[in-house]
Amino acid sequence: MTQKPPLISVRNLNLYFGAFHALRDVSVDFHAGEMVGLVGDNGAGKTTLIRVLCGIHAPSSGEVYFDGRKVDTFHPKNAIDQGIETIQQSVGLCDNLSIARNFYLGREPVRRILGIPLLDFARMREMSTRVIRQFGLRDNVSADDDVERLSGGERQSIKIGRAVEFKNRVVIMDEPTNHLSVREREHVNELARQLRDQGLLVIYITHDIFQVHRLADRIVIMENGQKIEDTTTDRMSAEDLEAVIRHGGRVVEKAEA
Amino acid sequence: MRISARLVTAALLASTVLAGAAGAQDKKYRFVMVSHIGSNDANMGWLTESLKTFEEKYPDVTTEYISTNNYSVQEHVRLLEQAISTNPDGIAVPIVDSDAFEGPLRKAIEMGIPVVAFNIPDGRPEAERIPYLTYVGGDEYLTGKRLGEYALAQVEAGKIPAPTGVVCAVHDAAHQGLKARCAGMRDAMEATGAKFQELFIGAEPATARNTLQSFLSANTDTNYIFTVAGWSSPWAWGVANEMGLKPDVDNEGVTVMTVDEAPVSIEGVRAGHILATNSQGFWLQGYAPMEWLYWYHELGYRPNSDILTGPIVINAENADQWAKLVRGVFGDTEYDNQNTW
Amino acid sequence: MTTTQRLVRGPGFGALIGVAAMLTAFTLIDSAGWWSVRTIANVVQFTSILGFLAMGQALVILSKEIDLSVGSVYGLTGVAFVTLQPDLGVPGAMLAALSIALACGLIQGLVVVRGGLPSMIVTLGGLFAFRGIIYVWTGGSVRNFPEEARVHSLTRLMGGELFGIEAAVFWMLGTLAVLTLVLNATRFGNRLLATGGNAESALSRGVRTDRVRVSVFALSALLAGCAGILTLADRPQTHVTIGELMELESIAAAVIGGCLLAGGRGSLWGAVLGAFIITGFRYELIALGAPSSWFITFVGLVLIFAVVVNQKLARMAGQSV
Repeated sequence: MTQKPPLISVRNLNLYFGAFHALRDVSVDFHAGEMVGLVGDNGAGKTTLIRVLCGIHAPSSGEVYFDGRKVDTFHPKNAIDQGIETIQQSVGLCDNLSIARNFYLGREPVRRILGIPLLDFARMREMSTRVIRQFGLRDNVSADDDVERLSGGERQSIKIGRAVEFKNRVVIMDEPTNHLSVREREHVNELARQLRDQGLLVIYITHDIFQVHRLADRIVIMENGQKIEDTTTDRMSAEDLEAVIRHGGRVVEKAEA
Repeated sequence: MRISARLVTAALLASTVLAGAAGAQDKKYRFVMVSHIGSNDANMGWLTESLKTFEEKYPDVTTEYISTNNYSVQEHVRLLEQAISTNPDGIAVPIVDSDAFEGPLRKAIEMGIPVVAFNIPDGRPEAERIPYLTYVGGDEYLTGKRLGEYALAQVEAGKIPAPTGVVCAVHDAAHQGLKARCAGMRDAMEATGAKFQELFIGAEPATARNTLQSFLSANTDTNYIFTVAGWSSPWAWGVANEMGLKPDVDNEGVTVMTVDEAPVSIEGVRAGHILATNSQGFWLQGYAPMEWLYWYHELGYRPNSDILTGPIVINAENADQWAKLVRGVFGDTEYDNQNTW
Repeated sequence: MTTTQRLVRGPGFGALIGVAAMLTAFTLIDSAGWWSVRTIANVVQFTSILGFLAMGQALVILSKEIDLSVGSVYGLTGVAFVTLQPDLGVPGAMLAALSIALACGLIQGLVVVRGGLPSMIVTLGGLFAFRGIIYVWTGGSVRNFPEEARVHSLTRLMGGELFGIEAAVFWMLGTLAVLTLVLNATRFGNRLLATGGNAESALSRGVRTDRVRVSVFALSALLAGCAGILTLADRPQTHVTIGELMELESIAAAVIGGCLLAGGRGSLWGAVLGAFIITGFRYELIALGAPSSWFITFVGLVLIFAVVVNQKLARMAGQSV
């Protein structure tokens, strides 16, 4: 792998929700230009880990370094300002707003009329329309339509299109192909590859090890809030990794009992 | 006289008792007034002023005025119970809630403490009433009736227009006393054939004005407005004035009447905006109960009926005198502040 | 989408139909009484006052919160204006009163956001607390507003008339225009709608939902305060009861105007139309000779009817509500 310093470095991260120990001493590095598959069963801590990276949760102890600098305040705003874009499963779109408004939520373009910064609807509409067409949304869908009218795949397309469109450094995808048709799934995976090739860090979360093994450069497996495997895809096959998931889970269970 | 407004703890009350006991060497009696009017209400002055005068006349009596600024019926009952536990020689209390006051007052009467109701009577039939010595205060029904009769006398004298429609503007639909004022006005007006209506305006000023204005636009025959609170009289006058209904006291347009010897009512009369208001003899409601308690102890006096201290009509002729009296009780600053005209 | 389409599918459309139905009905049953300058002026004037509270309430409901304190804040601001005037003069008292309103809103907003408490409980506390302050401060009667303060140019600007129309009407319409622009065409508005529609999603896009919600409570209180000052500047005789039950009328106005309590959908002009409907009904019920205590019953019925109709309209527009 690359010898450059990691873009994101997580050091001895612990996170408690009350008495529940959600992340246990997790240390992991992520580099620019790499696609990392973050794999594990439901409740393994994958989503919790990325929720720390995108600023929703602040860790109980441990450090996170972004581009060599220690992160002090955790808020989605800071993460987005740093260029960390997260595509989450059920979160990210407001049903009551139009596609164009959702597309730019949090970073709305404005133009000044008499010195008053008003939303630049023309620009918002133009760019979101381009993405809608690019992602093959139905022809009768316009940028002014409420997101509510969209299907699951279309919604996912908006989120991914948004992540692609803005100049980001990190794209985190949480189960991006859930509820998608085969064709849509291929399209999403192709996009993920393109982003990696453009030099972005792509963190791809899934519980489907076979799918992500074909895509990713590296696989990180989590179980019970711990990192139990961290290897490159050329070193271990998908079958071996699947065995680790099954096996690893059992070992931890025994250790706890 | 001792004033224990805002008195809420037993400890404070105990000190009152001690002080009372210390002064009791040359005092024969200790009468307690447990009032619903706190020191944040300028009307307290009527009662405390009259108690002071009473003490000057009867140096062998000490009087106490107990109230709270944090008024609730529960709090009032608590103050009453604490007062009873100090075993005074007499209690004066308004029957704000006959159910809530029944228990403590009957106990006091059984203990041999005479009780006089002031300001608010026990409204139940005589047989069911709390057996107090007497009631000293006004009469809500007569308040409306006498004001109505006064207005008709003015009509006779050719000073104001005859009523064609009368509206009684009520701010609290559940208040029986206010309903009784309206009923008195209705009965007074009955013979004239004028249409009488009761209008619930609410206590919120903007809403009340909106409601009144709606009523007056829809009922163009209404030319008498009776507001059953002094503070709502400028609203009624203002609405009628804006509508061009000439509400001042003269022989045309609308005539406004109100209640109470509050500065806003009296000044309304003095300014010629209000035909008349009334007094229910607030000063006497402090003085008279004490005197009856004193006579009860000294001479075994028991009044044979309720003692009505009002209503007395306040009109253009006597308003100046009233203004002087009320200024004396409220103080000039408070009087001027409360005159919102 | 054309403007007409947007209007029909928009959240205020139900209120527009409601106003049309109300005007038709009133014309049929009481044409002479309703269509008089006097009546319309009266209804529009009170609509302006209630409209201020309803706009604030609509903003709060849009962000998926509720503000039960607006009636008390309205009262407290008005009372503060009158009570502080002798010491601070008209401009100073106005500024101080509005600062008090703003503080009321900020405090409640911070308690809701920082404490993670339901706004219904926090602002219910505000309703009682601010009303209590009015009683303690005034001693049960609000003081006189002296003649020189009544004729002060600032007082006239707030409470006077222009072309025979109350100043409050112009202030309300101006505020409605500005706030509608803010809500629909600024970053803050977009983020407010997003926060109400789906706070978690808004947060994940980097929206400071905590700040948005605090701002909304502050705005609501400030609007209530403006209404208080407009009322007092026009008619300075008031009472400690000023603003009582206005919080409920403002919620009713916003809901009749198409604001969904689920948040994120509604309009300010709808809320003002809702205020107009409520005020219009009050007039007509009185004009028809119904006991005026029926008014609240009627508002209740109109409210339920409006919720049903607005929901149907929203479903027809393809929204899942």
